[in-house]
Amino acid sequence: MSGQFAAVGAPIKNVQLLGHVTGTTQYVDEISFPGMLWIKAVRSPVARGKIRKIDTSRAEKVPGVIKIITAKDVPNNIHVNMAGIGIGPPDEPVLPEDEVKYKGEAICLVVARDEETALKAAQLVEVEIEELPPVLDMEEALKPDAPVITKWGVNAFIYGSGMDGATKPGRPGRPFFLVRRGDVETAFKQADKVVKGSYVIPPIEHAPIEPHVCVAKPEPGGKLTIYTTTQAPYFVRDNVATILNIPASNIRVIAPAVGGGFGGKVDPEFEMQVAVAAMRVGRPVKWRWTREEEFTISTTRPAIKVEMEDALSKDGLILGRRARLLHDSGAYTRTSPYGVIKSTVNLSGPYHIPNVYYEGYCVYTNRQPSSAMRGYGVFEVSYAVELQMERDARTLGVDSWEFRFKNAYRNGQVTATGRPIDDAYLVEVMKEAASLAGVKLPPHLLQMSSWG
Amino acid sequence: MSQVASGYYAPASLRDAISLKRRLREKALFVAGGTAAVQLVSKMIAEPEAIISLEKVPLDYVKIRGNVVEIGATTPISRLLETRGLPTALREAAENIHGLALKDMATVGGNIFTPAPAGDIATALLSLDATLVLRGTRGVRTVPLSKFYRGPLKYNIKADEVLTAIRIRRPPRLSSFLKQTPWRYSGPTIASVSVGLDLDKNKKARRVMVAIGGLTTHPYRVKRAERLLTSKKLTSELIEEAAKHLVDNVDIIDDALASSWYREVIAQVLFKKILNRFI
Amino acid sequence: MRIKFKLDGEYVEVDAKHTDTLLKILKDKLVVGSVHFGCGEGTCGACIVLVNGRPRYSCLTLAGYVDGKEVTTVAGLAHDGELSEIQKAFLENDAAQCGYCTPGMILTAKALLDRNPSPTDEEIFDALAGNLCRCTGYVPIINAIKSLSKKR
Repeated sequence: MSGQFAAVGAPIKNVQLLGHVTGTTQYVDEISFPGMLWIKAVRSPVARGKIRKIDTSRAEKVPGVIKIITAKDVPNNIHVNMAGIGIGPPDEPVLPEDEVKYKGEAICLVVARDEETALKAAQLVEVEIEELPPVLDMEEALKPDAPVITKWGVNAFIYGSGMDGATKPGRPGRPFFLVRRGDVETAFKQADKVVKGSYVIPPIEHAPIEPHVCVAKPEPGGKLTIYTTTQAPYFVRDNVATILNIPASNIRVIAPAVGGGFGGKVDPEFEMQVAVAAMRVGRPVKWRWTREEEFTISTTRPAIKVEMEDALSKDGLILGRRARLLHDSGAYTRTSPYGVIKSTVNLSGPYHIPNVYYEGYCVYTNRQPSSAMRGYGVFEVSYAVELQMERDARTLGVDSWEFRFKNAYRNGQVTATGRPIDDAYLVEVMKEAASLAGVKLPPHLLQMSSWG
Repeated sequence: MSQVASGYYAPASLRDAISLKRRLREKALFVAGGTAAVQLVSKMIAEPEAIISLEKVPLDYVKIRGNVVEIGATTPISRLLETRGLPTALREAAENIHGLALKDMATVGGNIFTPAPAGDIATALLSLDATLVLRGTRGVRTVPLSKFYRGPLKYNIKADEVLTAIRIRRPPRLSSFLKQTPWRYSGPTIASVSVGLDLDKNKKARRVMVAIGGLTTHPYRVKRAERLLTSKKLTSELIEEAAKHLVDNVDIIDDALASSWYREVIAQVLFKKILNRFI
Repeated sequence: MRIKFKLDGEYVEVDAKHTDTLLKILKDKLVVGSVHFGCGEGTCGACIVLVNGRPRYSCLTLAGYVDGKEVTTVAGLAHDGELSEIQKAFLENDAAQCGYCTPGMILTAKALLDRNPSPTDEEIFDALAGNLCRCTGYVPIINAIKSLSKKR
């Protein structure tokens, strides 16, 4: 194929390679300005609690400390995250006013002349917290007697109620995202075998080798330049503009080379805090997260739990599927309601299941917020779906290749959400995969195609 | 006592190092390879007024004379791999240190002080019945490694003493070290086992030394298992029996790296793997 | 204290505290772009430099240690604009994606090849165990080093 095209199928050199091998690629951590100050955060030692007192007096006396930033210093103390594209609600403060919701949440920021001074002073800030019982498990969070950790009274996102800002407000909604097609009750009545499975994935850290680093530099005329390790400069700009109450046109976000992101640098997580600090002190300010902060504060891929039940016919078809998916959003919303939608609509995998009933819950717990990671919402569910396919095949006593070939989407079919399929290639891909893996497929499978 | 300015000291002789240590005591942080000590400083866990670096003290050597192996305390791990004639367990432990840079930086002496999940060299040395040479202002003292640990981060060393060398007298003819890490190519130790062994011609063990690392802050010898194996013909049944006593009365670390249950299981697997090779 | 050392062939003098790491001096004082902070505990290898030709984690090296020594970063491997063999091999084998680990990888590879001109696959894996890459899956990096191993 590559012979016929100039670009398709032809390898392309990574344009940054020369910079990488000569060490001249510029990352945020190389950006420095005269008089630049450094940030360290005072972080919550508990997963949930009421802030009773923040005493900064000892820390302020440390030579080299310029200012300690608390919620009071934030002009508009709400992290809008991606509300601009209909992912909400904005439920996360830039710095908490009275309550901390996860262990490690930044309570206040020490701005000092260097990193050591900031760290030393941060250790001297005394925070009095009244510890509250945390919710750390998704099933526990959904129980009626669980401590409520959201503003709207349930530890789950309410789909269809307008709380995300994208749909019309005022409707009752449901505490889960629903995907329904066909008649799942009848499918289970007609089933020759019913197979149940439960699948759990823990949170996964993106672990880029470059941690989060941000430099914010106030410019004349109330403007601000932000250099940051981001995959999404516009999200940063929108958030900072809203939080500082200044026009977005006053903010310039520069994203130099990123030392690995994998989705972990999509959410604006700390740029708002650096921006507030820089505007308050009127000097360039830098914050470089440690590896510990990278693991314990930055977002992760969500933990999920999927319970699945398949109605199977003895000739090897999936007649129907019921599933309940729990997705751990952590303490705040970030992108999770969107991630749950992706997960829930993908609960059929690349297979044709005519009758389905799926509930996807976006659950809030007192854990570090989760968000996007490569194949957001899909990878987590694929794990559950493919294990369930193996389990189905074993229960029926058929080869799992055969089971997948039979149930793979064919062109002309319709997905659970009603999209007509016109680009199915799973049968062809599986044939190729089998050949690469040295698996000899029987002739009747090799005769199959996505077109019939 | 004279005031010593804060700063970085790199004494050129052992004598100078010892006198500095005596003068500065807890005000100073001793640094050999730096792989463990420097983190204390960079993460501000410790804020020493002074650093005493052993980089210039001539303790980087390996001497093998007759039945005695002596290793200078600041010998880097990579030197062990460049040296022929060292006991197998020591070489295998050295090979398992994480990557080229760490092998070049970390020292044999420093490793003895470094707690789990590091300290593999100490585990190997313990199974070789090594002795530590400590030099202080009042002369030289030797302490068997098996009597050096007095609890987590508590060592049998005086304020004015410096560990100068590690000696192995009569190294066992057979020895082997195995460790389990979360990654394929080295990394933090979940569990490690090192065995030193002398067999007679009937495959009866004349001398057995078993050391376990990773399960506790510092490695320990397993006397009960050693006694079970001594003077008996090595069989898989006997090994199986001895494996049951690797963690008697041991409070095993249970943390994010691995559960105590898993560490125990792995220690038994490694122990059996090593000994079954010698049947 | 005042320390003086050779950085990529040029003498530099810099003020350092006794507790400053080499990484801090290189990054925050001398603004060396190719030395990267990744973990601060000698696991990831993004901060590796050569000191007198031997690889060291600069995050675990105190600044005082390099006084009077020679420090080489990846920028010091090219001469008169001509890339070194190892840099060319990384370039040809597409052995980098985000590039953050690349300088440390190249310097460790150089140290390995200087000592062992024809390493086996196992020896390469073992030497690079202290350099983490989250993008490439290591295969192109290993290929780059192997390409030189064959040449010699």
